[in-house]
Amino acid sequence: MEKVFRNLLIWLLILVILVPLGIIASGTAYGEWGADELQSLIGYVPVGFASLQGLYHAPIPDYGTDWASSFLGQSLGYYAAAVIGVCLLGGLFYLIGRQLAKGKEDTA
Amino acid sequence: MPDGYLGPNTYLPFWIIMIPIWYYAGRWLRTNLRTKQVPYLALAAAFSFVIMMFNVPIPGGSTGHAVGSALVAIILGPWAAVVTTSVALLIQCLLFGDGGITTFGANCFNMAVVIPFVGYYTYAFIAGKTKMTDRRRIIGSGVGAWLGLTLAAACAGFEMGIQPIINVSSAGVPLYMPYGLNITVPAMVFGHAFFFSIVEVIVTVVAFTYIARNDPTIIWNYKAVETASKPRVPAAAA
Repeated sequence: MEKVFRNLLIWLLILVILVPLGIIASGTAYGEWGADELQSLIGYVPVGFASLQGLYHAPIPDYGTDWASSFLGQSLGYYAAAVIGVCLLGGLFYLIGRQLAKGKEDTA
Repeated sequence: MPDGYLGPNTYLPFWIIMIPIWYYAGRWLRTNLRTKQVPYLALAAAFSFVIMMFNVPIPGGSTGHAVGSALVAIILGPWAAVVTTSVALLIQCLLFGDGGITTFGANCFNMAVVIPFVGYYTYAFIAGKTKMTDRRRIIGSGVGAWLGLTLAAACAGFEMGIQPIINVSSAGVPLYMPYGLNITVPAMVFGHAFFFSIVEVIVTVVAFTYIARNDPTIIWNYKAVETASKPRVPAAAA
């Protein structure tokens, strides 16, 4: 494995290890409030908003943090989500990339 | 942006804009991706996903995150960043329910088009005809990352902020995002300009500097950059 790639991979793994830092911030991102939050913010739930809510139910909502209430439990869920995302995207792009780059060796 | 914040008259046009962009980006990747870059492409997609999981708290109780697509644009090219960021957003949306289905086109436009292209061309403009290891390129990568994410945030603020103008009930009540431009744009720009874009700058500058100094041959346009930075070769070669 090339040294630069190996080091970048190590950085990525460090980011994955640190990923529970991402759930310490408990606030909702701007413009990502749920129906209950909008209700308390403006006193009603916009009709169009309500009609588009629940259009799709993701298999792992909230990045796997909603099954536990403790920070440790939520961290484990968040780790699992990070590992799933990294393996899925890394694997997918490695396979697709190999097909796309076929025959384009780097001579430089 | 989750489902419900944009009306069909806003989210549909973004889907329509994105389809040819995705198509061209895929074609570009097929033409330009080199074997040596494949592991880095995989790494870039995984990195995009993880960096977006780092929610940063800001005063006022809100949170946000960096995106990392300016870095991918500088290293693998803005069209490659369109693909990696879009697919990372797709996984977020389909698997983890982060980001809406209806708003997917708009989210991709903001994060997988605005950031890579604003980021890359700002970097390229500041870099000029300097060598890959020149300090101007490092500065350019930082300014590009900051401007890319901050402008993307302004776009998202604009898309949400026009909702109370173009989508109201017959009684004049907002149907989707209830806050107008005077609130959404400053709110989005503030959080990003002073916080999340700073994270984007740090990540971009550190990784770009490391790659440019240690193995610039990974960088998609390094040959053109090297050719253009040699004084005796005509600039047209770039």
